[in-house]
Amino acid sequence: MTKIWKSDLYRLGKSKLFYGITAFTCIIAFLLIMLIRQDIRLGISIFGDITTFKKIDDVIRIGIAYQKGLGIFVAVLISVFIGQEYQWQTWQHKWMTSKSRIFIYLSKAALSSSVSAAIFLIFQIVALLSSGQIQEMLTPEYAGMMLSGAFIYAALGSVICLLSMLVKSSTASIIVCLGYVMFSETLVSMIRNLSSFSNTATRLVEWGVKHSIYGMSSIVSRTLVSADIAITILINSLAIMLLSTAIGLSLFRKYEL
Amino acid sequence: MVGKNGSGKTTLFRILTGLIPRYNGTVSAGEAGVQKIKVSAVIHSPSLFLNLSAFENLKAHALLWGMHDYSRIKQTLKTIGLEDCKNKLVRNFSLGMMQRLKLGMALLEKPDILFLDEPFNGLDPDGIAELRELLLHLNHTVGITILISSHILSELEQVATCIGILHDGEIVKEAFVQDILQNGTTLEELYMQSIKGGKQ
Repeated sequence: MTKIWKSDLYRLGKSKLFYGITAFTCIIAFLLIMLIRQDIRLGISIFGDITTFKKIDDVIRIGIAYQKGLGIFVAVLISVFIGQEYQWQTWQHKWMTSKSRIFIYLSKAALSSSVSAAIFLIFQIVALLSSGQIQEMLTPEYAGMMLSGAFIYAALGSVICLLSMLVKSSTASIIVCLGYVMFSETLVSMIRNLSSFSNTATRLVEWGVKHSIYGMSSIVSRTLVSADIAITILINSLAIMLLSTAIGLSLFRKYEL
Repeated sequence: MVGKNGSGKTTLFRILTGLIPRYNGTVSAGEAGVQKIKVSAVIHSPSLFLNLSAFENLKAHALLWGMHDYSRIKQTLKTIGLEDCKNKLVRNFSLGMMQRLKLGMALLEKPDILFLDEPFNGLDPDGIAELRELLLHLNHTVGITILISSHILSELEQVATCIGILHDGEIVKEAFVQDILQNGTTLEELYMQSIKGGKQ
């Protein structure tokens, strides 16, 4: 698997999209912090309530709400990276070098989770360094938030990898992944409304939402992260990664490449 | 391997190389337990990273083999005649150059058997002549067995040792090219006879 990983990593390192997205992430984090430091308040709304940043802490929290920006970058980057393999039929290289489909998938899933978490951490680190409040912000709660956020993004990367690997088209996988990221909030509210007919269904849906990527990101972006919350998020994220990888592996091995 | 469109040439190649995971029957090469056969293939499709250069495509492929000796990449670029445009993006390559690069990828880890699906398709006469020379060199000098599927019978007459005619998913005729030509028949005549006559 390390050979596939190295080859994929090399290809990612040659991708202009990867550098573009990384640079854009840094610029956004830096600009938002700078504007707040100049006491210019900003509002962001992507298919949801308007979010007005009042303090630096808000910018750092907005990084965790993946559906409001960073998740879109992650979705585009991963779906394009994987979609190109279908578009140009380059899976053949891996197959020709006797690589099993299990390792091909695992390499893609590991890379997607790593890249997703890395983009989140880059945003947070740039925001933190630009804030000038490193001392004040380096608290256990903040560290818990960073760790939880990284795991939430790793789980998001894993799910986007699953969608991209299963939708065998570059353009379609971008649309599906963007849809997943941008409309997860709408989808959750729809499911909540639909489940309101019975208490059991409501409780079941609430449990599911709480343990979903969307639910976890909502919790972390709104509240202080205690050790208990961080551990729950860590376990949930790992479970989501394992589940999405298991589903992806079972379906991908039957695909004609 | 010769056959009309839809006769199953590409499907056979995709089965032989494992790209189609489910089929009935077995695929074996060489004598079981004696020697590990290295197989490589160029299937009729882009199968190149168009956003990377020729060198980068070969390097990404070399990493899959676990190769870190990049002199092999330079040597391969020289063999396929792309040394001068190694840093050019593949999306700017002509069809002939792409075909040669794909061949280069297949040759990186010197294979024992090489499958080439429609290698002459889309090439101009110069490109066809260059590819023919390269294939003969690989077979005669380097010692690689090459299985080619093609529609261009005149080209196969010049490069092939043995020919198989595929019709409706079945091999209906197998013969040595030298024997066919010595009998005063052309491949085209043999092909027409075989698909009318059924399995022989």
